[in-house]
Amino acid sequence: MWTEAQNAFNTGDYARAATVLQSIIKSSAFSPESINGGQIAAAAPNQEWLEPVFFMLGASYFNAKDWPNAISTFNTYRQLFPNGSAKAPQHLAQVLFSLAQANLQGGNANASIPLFNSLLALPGYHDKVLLLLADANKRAGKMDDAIALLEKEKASPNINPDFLENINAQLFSFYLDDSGNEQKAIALLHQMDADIAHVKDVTQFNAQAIRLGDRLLPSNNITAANIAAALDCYRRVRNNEQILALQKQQIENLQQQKAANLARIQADPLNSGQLQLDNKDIDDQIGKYQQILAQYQTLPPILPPLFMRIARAYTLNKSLWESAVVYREILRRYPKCKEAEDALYGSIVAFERLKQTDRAQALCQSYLTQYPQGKYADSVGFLRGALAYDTEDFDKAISYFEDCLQNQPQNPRRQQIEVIIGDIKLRQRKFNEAIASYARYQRDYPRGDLSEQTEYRTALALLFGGQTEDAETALRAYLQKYSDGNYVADAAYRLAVVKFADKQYGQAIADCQAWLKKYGDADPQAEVFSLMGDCYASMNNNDEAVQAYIRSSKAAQSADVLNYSIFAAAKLLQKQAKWADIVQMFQDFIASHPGHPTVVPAISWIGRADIKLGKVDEAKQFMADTARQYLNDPTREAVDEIITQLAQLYAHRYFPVPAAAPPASSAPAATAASNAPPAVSDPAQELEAILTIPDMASKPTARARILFAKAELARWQHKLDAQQQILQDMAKEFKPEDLSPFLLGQVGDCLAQSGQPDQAKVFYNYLMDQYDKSILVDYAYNGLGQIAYNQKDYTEAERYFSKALDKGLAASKLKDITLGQAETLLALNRPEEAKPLFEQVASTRAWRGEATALSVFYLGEVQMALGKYAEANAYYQRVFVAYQKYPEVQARAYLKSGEAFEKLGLIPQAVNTYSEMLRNPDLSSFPETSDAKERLGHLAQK
Amino acid sequence: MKLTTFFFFILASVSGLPAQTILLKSGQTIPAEGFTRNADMLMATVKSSTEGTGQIGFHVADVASVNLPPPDALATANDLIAKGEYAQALAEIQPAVDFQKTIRDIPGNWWAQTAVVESSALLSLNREAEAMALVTEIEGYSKDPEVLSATKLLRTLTEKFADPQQAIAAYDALISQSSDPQTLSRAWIAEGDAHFTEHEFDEALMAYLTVTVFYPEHNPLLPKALWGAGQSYAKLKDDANAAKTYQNLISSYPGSPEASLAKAELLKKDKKT
Repeated sequence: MWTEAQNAFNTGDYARAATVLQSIIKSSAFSPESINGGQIAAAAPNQEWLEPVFFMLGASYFNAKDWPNAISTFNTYRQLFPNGSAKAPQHLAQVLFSLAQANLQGGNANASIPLFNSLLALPGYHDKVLLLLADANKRAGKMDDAIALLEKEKASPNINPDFLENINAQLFSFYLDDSGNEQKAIALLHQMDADIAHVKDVTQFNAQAIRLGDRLLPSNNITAANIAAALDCYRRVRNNEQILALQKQQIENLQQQKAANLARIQADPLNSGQLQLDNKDIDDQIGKYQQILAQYQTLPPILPPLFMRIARAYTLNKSLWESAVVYREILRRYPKCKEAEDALYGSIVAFERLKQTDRAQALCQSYLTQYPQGKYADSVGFLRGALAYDTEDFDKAISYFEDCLQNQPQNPRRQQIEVIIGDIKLRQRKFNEAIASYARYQRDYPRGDLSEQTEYRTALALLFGGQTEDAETALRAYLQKYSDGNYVADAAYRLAVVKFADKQYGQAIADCQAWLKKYGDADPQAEVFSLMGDCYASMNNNDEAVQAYIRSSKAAQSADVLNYSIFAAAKLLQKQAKWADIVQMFQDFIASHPGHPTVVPAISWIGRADIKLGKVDEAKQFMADTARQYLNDPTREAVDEIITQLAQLYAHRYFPVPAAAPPASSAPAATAASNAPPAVSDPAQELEAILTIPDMASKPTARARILFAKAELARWQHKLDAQQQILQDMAKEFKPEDLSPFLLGQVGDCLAQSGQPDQAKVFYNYLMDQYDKSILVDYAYNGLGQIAYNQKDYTEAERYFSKALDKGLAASKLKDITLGQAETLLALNRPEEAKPLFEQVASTRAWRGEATALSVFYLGEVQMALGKYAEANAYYQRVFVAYQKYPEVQARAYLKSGEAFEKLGLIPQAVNTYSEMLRNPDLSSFPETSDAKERLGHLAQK
Repeated sequence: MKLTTFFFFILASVSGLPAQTILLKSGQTIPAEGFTRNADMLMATVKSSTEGTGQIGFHVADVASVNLPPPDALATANDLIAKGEYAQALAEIQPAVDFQKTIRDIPGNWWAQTAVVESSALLSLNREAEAMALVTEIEGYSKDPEVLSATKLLRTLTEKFADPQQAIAAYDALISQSSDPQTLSRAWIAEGDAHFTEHEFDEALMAYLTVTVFYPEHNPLLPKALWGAGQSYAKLKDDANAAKTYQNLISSYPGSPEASLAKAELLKKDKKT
């Protein structure tokens, strides 16, 4: 029976083993003798043969996870054999250990604790018991004891690194899952990270780091500290390559340990027993590690999902640039990973929130190309249109929105999109198309949420499109249907507009008055006043009109309405020569809107009105007072415009003041004065005096502006050399940060034109960097482009010019930039691209002058480059016939015309052209004339 | 393009390396306490089973490879470079380079890695010709992809690009080939500088932030990256983030040259307001 029980046990048939062992006990007629309190007496010596039977019986129950019977049997064993077995002394400790575990697994953690504690001192049991004891304490609800036990063990000296790693893994779980002590978990993670070489399972370490990071980022209670801590956890995660390297390193370490042992064995074979056993263990360990390595080699990429978490953490921290960087890195490193779509969408959202519209647009496009049916396709489709709409690129916006309607039948924003398309058409003044779009909406969604909006905007489109009768009908229909609607006040105002259009001025005024009574200061009150002004003006009731316009300008919410009304009033006052009223109106305006862009034209009006009133000095004083307020602030660009106007006043109104006649009897002190040169009023000094503010020495921008005022004065006085000299002085005296955008541009241009490109670049670069939103930034693009062009760095020149043109930055320098870009493209041998730009310059009436002559000349050059000599010649001839005012261009055109004739084989015509050029005395000094002479000589020889 | 310092990166995971060993072509592994080179012999200091030491000589022709921990001078020199103490870094690394050179015909030596650090120190001391001569020597010897990407970076950093776009393309190429955090940090910063020169401040910012986001720990290049990010934010008119970045730079790297620049920027800002 004993053999049968052993066989059953060894083959894992624990139930059978238990049955047979019970039978052995039964057949032995052994009956435990009960003593006090249910205890049983120790076995008699003749019963000790039963010790292995009870031992194996307990083990059978234990292995079969029959905890109650295992506990009962082991308890019996302890009482029967309190000293264990002489033959197998290890049995008693094994029984205690198993009993403790059975109690723990059987749900009686409290009972297991003293048993584990009793084993803790045994060297063979310490390490395994400690972790179970900690677990028992945890299960018994004694979490503090569990943690204290492990922390105490960690602090003990010479702890085995592998055991330490096991303790750390358990402690981490206790900190994070059971006690919620995230700070301790973080500290522990740092410790494990610092000794990663001893972390057996790096994937588990990764999982712990990620779990802790996630725990620190709950959806509520986000703090900057938690985000930073979460990022810190995520950053400790090892990637696939690092995991493999660590695992390989562990294997290599074992192999080296084995090699070292081997060397010692070879050196001393007789005493090598333990070393050989150690090497066997190492071989087993290497085998296990190699299996783990093989598993690690099949792990999916760890970083993409981790990076998504990092990006989320940055987004929660409102660090959108950082999250955009992370998304970009996912897409750069793992363009095909399953997180790529989410990363691309995340990028779009980040850049949209960062107002990086161009980038967001490009990414939207990329998303829709890669994932036309993707999970975010609807949102991205809408966003792409909305971004184009926000930048007022209406054609693109419509195209994108139409694309959504066509390709995204389930897009939840279809209704909104149809209305937006109508609104865009309305803004584009394509009224019939707007009406059609709104009609499409009403057809597609007869009970749609946006019906009221589309009906009202249809009426507006009719009105703006001049279909006043239909508009009136639509407006009345709207008012009847939506008596409490969102647009009733606006509709009532539009009905008054219809009457105005129908020249029913009196009726329109009455409607406006009724409107004001009913709606008070609701929107569009300013427009209502403005309409009243228009009606009164149409009735030649100028006083009432002016009053209405002024009220409109005061109520205006938009610059458009404000400007329209205030200047309409000004023009009416001007018509009536009411200069004082003009001054008063604009002074009131400036007082109430000191930073408004209209301040500059307002000052101009005041200046003109004061001059009409004979108050030139007052005009000057007023302008100077206004300029002085912000004289030292380089960001106030309007100050420079005021200074220009002020300088103009000083230039045009300069009258020398005659010296006063000396009194008949002068005091000795006055005699000296009378010997001095007669006092002459100097406008430059006056200008300086009127603009001077206190403490000028510490106000570089103010000092620069006073110099600029003098430069402008010189310009108005046609003293261009003086103007240039002052600007050059400014370049020497001031740093770029002292100057306003206009001054930076002026100084830069002056330096560039006077052959100091490197110095000019400093000012242009500052302008470009510091005032990239200023309308004057095109000075920098033009200046830097021209410098590059002159230095024959055409690639660089093209970059500046094309950037200015493509990004719509060219404004006051549009002509120069367009021409510069065209010349650059020609120099880069891209005549086909240059041609339309030259044509644009040549055909723009406002740019007529030397630029036109040059463009026509270059159109000839384009044709020459394309080998079309006759066509080229037509342009050259046009230049020297029509643009004689520009002899430098004319000289170039003559020479090239002769060359074109030569290329066409028309030598007599070439000779005539060169001869005609030589006869023109205005062209004698140009190098082209010498070239023409040379060509003529050459042809004569032929 | 401004010349900047370069550091060779050591994986933290390698720090716990075991003792040195020699692997013979016969397959035998010899643990050793140290090595010296004597003509065509590699002399190893070995321990006996009785814990005594002695020297054993091996013909270099019989040695397959050596397994050495990274020389301490690597980390020390890198730290010194990070502090801007280039001459000291050079003095620190040169003996290591010299020793490693004596065994550089044996696989497993650290010559190329130490020589890269020496090149970096030389470059920082504006001894460009010597640095590039050493880089050429390294390239002729090493086949280690990380070493080669480091030398390529050094070359790229010294190259005078006429066109910033070409520079950016060169840095991009380096970035796509390398996985070494320091090479990547260096290349991203150089790319940020190129974009900055081109007034492409958004691109510059993203390049600098790539360093602060992905390589924030034990990275001697972080002050440069933070400074670049602060400058880019300022150019993008994001004054709040610029100030935050400067403050972070000052508090995290108070002794760095960039911290002084950041302090000056903040002071300038204070004066304006």
